[in-house]
Amino acid sequence: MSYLLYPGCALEASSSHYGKSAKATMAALGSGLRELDQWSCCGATAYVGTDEDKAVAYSARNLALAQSEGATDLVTACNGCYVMLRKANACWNASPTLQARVSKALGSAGLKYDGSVRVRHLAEVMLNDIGVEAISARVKASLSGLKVAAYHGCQISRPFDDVENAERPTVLNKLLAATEAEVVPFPMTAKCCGGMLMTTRRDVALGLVKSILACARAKGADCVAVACPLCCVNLECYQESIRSELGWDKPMPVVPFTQLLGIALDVPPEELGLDQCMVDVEPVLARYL
Amino acid sequence: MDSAPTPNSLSEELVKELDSIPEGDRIKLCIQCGTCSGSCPTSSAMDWSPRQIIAALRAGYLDEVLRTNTVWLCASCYVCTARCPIGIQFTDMMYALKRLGLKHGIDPPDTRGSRLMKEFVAEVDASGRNAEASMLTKYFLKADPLGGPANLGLAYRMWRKGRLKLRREPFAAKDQLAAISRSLGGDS
Repeated sequence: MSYLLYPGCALEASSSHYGKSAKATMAALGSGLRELDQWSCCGATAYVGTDEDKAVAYSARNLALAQSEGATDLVTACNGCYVMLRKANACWNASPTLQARVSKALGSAGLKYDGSVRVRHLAEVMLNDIGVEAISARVKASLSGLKVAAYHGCQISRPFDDVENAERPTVLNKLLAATEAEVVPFPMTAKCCGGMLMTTRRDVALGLVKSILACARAKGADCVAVACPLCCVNLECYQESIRSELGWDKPMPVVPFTQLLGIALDVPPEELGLDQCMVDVEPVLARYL
Repeated sequence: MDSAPTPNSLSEELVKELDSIPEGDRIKLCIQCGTCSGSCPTSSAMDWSPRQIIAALRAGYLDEVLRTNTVWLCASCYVCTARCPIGIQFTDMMYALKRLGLKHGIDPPDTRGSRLMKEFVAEVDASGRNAEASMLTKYFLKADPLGGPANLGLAYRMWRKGRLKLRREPFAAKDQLAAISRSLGGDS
């Protein structure tokens, strides 16, 4: 089955390796991801904190485009986009006055939406539509011996906790177990990475990142797998500034979960963007390539 | 910016904003248990904790609340919302407070949070998407010129890895976004 993908801004830039590996991995699983044409920003946390109507309308525009393409599902690999698109959908059920304003605004742009497109996270699609058994059956290069901390982040399970448990999401654990990697116990899995505070209050965000990474290392993880482009940047890109405080001699690789699945499925490394990781993954992943 | 708000008109506006959040009036039912403050990953850096914010709002100190750094330290992780025993959607309340502060130009002393949002929104309005490099460059130049240069090394390394785009993607549906914005009273 082919899915319609809402990439979102970060998947095309600061986490382009995540976007690349998401497409390659889905293809290796026999499913396609085709990009929504003319998609626009979901609004993210910044827009909804500025103008709720426009934030919802901009997100709903993407859902309307998906509907006009005949899609029943719109898939995103970003936790932030996932929440914003779902918030837009939620107003079709819960906020009739907001929905009326948004519908009118969409109408003025020649668009129509009825609230029916299902917003889904890529990880959940892989788990529930493709399934662990089918993934296992396609694994060609077992990741046996690799210890992974599966970091879910916040918005994959909050505030919408109908798919995953709000504080104990497990979708990544299940997917990674299909590769035969050892998924270590990781109590920080759904803690906050700091999000946009990494720009506005780096001191605060670095404190959060430090505790998450320290936990991963204490649990024996060789690398951290993520399901959100912003988590990826926050956990991966600022390690140099905290390494001395952590007392680490070597950094912790942070990889989109799709890269690990892709390696197990024997997708060529260049199609997974492994060379785009800011922390060298060679030391922990070379033996599986 | 509108004419200067009075404490009373601000409170009325907040009530209206909270009404737009599903079950926003649950703030009245807060039992001050402090689960939100104890759960919040950034509360240790806040002027007033989430529990104190609710108490202050109920006592009518909206103006003071908008001048705390608390509102802009919420990273939207929703753990307070997930755990509140009475169902208060505190994260969404933080968004409502951000909107009120921006609308009336009431900022805490550290304006970096609101400055980033303004740049983000301007970028999306102008190009349909968030071109990260352009948005962050403008933000650091305007809001944090001393903090900016420390990021240049990282920016260069990310660019080398193909993770920093210097050019915006063409976006052909600007007219659609503009029409949506006009319909909702925006001016972009």
